[in-house]
Order: sequence, then structure tokens, then C-alpha cells
Amino acid sequence: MVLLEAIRPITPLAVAEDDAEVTTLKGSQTRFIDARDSTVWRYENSTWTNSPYDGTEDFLRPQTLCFSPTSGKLYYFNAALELVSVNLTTNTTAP
Amino acid sequence: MNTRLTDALAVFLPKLTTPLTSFTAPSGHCFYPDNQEGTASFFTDPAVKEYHLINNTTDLNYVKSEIETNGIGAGQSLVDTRSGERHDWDGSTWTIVPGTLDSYFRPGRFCFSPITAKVFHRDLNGVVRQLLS
Repeated sequence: MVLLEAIRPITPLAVAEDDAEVTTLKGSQTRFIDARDSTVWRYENSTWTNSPYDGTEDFLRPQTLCFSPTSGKLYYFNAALELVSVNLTTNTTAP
Repeated sequence: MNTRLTDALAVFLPKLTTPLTSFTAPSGHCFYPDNQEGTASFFTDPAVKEYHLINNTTDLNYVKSEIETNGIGAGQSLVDTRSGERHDWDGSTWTIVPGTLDSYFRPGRFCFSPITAKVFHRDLNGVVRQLLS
């Protein structure tokens, strides 16, 4: 029997937004996600690999919030497996 | 065994005897993780709901404008957290549907509003707050 648990609404996971942040996070993390294309970087067996994330692992589920502890930014990981940066200001950009 | 305990067991025993993968919430009786009674199972609810929620007039107009002009299309709805009213877009006009926020945004939950990219939390007293930096 598979025991289902309620999915955490907010999960901590380091997020990179550009190549410089990818390089930086490789120096401090063993797993992080690139917000540009939702690929996950993993350090395993002394090697870095990256692959598109399909949303099926417990460390980040679709339709949850993702808090990056390294940058302090908050993201929403939507059903289309895209990381959307959350607007934490009271302002909204006019169209 | 008192009635209250009997009622509680009647709710939870089906969960214990039915594989959780095929669990269906008993109609009208289910408990959320925050111990609030409701009518739907938290197993089938997303942890964070995605819905066009707005909490001020500027965002109300902005979201409406985006839905009207940027090809998001007919059949879209937004909900004003201040009144609980739902605004439905049929492709040419907006219709306001009276209601309560309970139908869209349950207490103890987060909601992501995709056009404004804002996140809201509704506490157990029903108060809605936007997450702010």
C-alpha cells in the first residue's frame, strides 16, 4: 500500500537564474534547479549532471512554492513545470 | 461510546480499510490537515491553488485587461478577495457572480495568482494576506 502524505506547500531548494549562479551553487550545493529551463543539477559520484525535471520527486512537486534559501527568493512551480518568480511587492506592473 | 466518537470513527474507518490510492472522501465529512472539516479530500487538492485572485482595484483592472487583451481568453474568472465576488469573462463582457471566498480559497491554504505572480495565504480565521518581502 502506498502511503500518501499531504504535499508540503513550500519546499526549500536552491534556484539559479543565470550561468553565474549555476557556477556559484556548484560550490555550495549538491542539488539545485535552474529556473530558466527547469533542469536539475545533481552532484553524484564526484560528477555534476543536469537533466530536465519531470516534477515527480519529493524535493519539488508541481503546484507548490519553492523557497531558495541561497537567494531568499520565492518561486511558484506550476503545473507546466515552470518556475515563476513570485511578486512580493504590493505593486503590479501596468500592461 | 459516545455519539461524537462514533461519528468520528465512522469518518475515519473507511480510510483505514480502503487503500489510500483509491480513497474517496465521504460526502460531507472529511478533515483537512489543519483539522478543519470540509467537503473535499486534501489528497486531491493541490498544495498551492492557482487562481486569479485580486485584493485591490489596481490589480482587478490589470488582471481584467490582461485577460481581455492578451489572448488568455473567454471562460476565465477572477475572484475579488475583498468581497468574494467572482468576475466571469465570456469573451466580450464581464459578469459578476456573488459568492463567498470559501468556494475558491480555503482557510490554511496558499494561492498563486498567475497574472500578477502574487501569492496569498488565508489563515484559519479566514483573513487573506499577500506574501510580501
